[in-house]
Amino acid sequence: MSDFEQFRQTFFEECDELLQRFEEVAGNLQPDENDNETLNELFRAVHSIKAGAGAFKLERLVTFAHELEDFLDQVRSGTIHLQTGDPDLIVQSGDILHTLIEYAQAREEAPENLEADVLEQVRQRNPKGGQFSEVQSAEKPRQSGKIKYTVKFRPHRELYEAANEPQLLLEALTDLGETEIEIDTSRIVELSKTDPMESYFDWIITLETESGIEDIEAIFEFVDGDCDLSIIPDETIAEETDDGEVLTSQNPIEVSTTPQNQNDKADGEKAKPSKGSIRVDLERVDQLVNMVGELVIAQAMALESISSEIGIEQINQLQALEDLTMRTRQLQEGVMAIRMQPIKALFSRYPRLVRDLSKKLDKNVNLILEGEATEVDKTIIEELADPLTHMIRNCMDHGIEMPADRVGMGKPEEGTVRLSAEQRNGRILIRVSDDGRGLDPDKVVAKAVKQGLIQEGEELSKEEIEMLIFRPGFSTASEVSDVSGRGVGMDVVRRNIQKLGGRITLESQKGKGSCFTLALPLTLAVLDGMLVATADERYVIPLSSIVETVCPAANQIKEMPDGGSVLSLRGNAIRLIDLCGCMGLSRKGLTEPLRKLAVIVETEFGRHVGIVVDELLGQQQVVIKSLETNYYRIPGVAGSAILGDGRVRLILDVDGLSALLPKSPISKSKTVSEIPAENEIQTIASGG
Amino acid sequence: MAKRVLVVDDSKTMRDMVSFTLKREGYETVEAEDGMDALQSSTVGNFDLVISDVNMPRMDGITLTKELRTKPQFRSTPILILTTEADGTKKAAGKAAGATGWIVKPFDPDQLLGVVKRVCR
Repeated sequence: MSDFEQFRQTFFEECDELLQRFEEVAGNLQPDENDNETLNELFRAVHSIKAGAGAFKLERLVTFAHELEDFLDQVRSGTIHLQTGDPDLIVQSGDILHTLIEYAQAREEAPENLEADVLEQVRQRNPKGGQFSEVQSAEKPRQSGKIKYTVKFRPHRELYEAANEPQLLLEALTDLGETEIEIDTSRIVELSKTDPMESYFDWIITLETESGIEDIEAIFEFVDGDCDLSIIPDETIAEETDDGEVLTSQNPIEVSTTPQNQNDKADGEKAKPSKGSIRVDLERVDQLVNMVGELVIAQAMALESISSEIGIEQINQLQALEDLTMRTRQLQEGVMAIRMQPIKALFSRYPRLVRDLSKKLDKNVNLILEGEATEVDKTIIEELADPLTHMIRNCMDHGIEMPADRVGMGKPEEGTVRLSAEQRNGRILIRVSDDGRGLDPDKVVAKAVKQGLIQEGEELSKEEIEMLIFRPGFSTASEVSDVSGRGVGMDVVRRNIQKLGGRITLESQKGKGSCFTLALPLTLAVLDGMLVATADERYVIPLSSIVETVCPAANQIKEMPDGGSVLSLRGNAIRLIDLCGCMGLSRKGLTEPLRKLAVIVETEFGRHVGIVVDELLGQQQVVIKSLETNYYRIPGVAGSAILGDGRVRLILDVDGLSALLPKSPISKSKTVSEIPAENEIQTIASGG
Repeated sequence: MAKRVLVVDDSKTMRDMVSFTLKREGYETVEAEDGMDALQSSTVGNFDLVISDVNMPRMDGITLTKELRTKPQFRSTPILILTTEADGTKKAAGKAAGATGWIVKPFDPDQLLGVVKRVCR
């Protein structure tokens, strides 16, 4: 990557951070309140974007940022007071910046009138603002010949105090042309009376140059006010410019020596704790995570090989190894933590969404954020953005009632949507709840029947009814709105969450509100798995999809006409998948497994399926290795892992496995008339 | 010996660009994220030049300039402030605080080096 590309990339990464902060802060702006710290932050963000954009010659971005910056500057200095509408304007401006940056990053030209409207509004609010016009160093008419100047220069002590150096200025003059430098030492005083900080020299320079007077002035730009300076073009060598215009002037140009207005108020910026962070390529972190994963495996292998042949002499080794195990685990946790980010980065998007939607829907909604400091894997944060947006939209559109209706029901006029995150039992729980109308079970059932998702008269538990909303195409909203659409969402949300190894559930009470709970793994790199065995082969089932494990009695299992079998469990019929057969294994002479276990897993749409295995070997954390990148995709297999014994094991994909089943009958339908007594079922373990 | 420059800017893009341009010309650079950070760096070793942004969190460039000027080892070190456009008030504020000069952003490498050579002995 060229240096320039590197800078460009850094710039865009920085823009992302700045904009995120901008949105976060802008969302809290209130009219009639010139909150200086907030405004300073907004100003700085825009200022930095503008500076960078200038360096990359992103002119539209520069122009827009400039006017916005100027407006914000006026607001923070108190010249302009924030009015109703201004916070929205600022938020909108942030969006425009965002879009312009996106186009710039893609090296595409943004649509022509993209910023025109907002820019006009900003200008209206800041009519005195300096409209940005790129100060182009317009080609000045160049005189064809040389001009002789006499430059008289007397530095003041302030010039030295600001660390300027006459010698360097004189050298710069010499660069312009031929010079003759005379030094006037007449002001020098007796040595005993000299002040080391004072200047006692005057210089008289005659300069013969093709450069214009402004080039000479530019050299003295920094010492303007700290010296007496006169630049006199005293002899014209060539009188005419290309245009034939006479350029000479006999009037000396006196450079003002009065110090300029000392506007040095320090921005009263609040001290922010330094974080001291570095930017690391995500790929490197992932490599590190992988390597540590391998280390964990290697370490487990070592432990297994030693503990299998334990003798007195191995005790010390074993102790050392256990110490190593602990350290490895700490290392693993530390490395995992690098990928973790506070969920605040994600949550901070939603106040804006809620505000916009409240306006659009004419509802009064207060968003409460909780547990913003909870740390979650970066990938999970990214993947959660859309599902959460969807759920919040749903809450606001379908959940929260119109203010008048709420008052009629004795609820506060203002609805509440609560977004919370917490870490519990090694999982992240994210809840989206509202105090709206909740789910109406009758309506949901009626809709599901109408849409052919269930049969009329089918009896469903409350949980089952709630799960219906996650079926594809389900929506109870009688009118399709452009806010949450036609219900093509919740199934997608659910699928996305499942892809992350998580689970989504809904609890709802009619008239009181509803609450979505997402349970997600802490990280995607390691998977909590249940190690199972069938016919001497071992497989890993993701713990997150396991509902329970049962050891069914013979009379609980019914053979189906299609050759499959069904387990009757607490009144439900659950399709069984024989893992052994599925994986094309034979039981080496044993016609029946010694001990048949059914691991009940939840698949897509809440369907339960039982995977029949011979043995449960225990829970284990495994590092997921993609099968596709190393081999090719196999239906029913999600990936592979190397276990402590050094062997590669396949991780089962429960959705893929259940897809291998015949399509009918659906597990939920009650085709089994015999309902076994509860005591026939021995629950061995429940996972998830 | 290579001249040492302290580059202070809260924007990594700017820091990178200034540093890169200077390093290519044989300068040695030390970067700081804001005024506070710069003050800390300023205690380590001597610098031949300081280039600082104005708008920064925690401590802005003007305050930084004032602070540096109170330190004996920085009394005659040139300090250049980075301003976004020909903003007279910022330049004046910088000067009043003791800055030697300024660099107007956006700049191209030649401009930057031109200004640096005008103040850095």
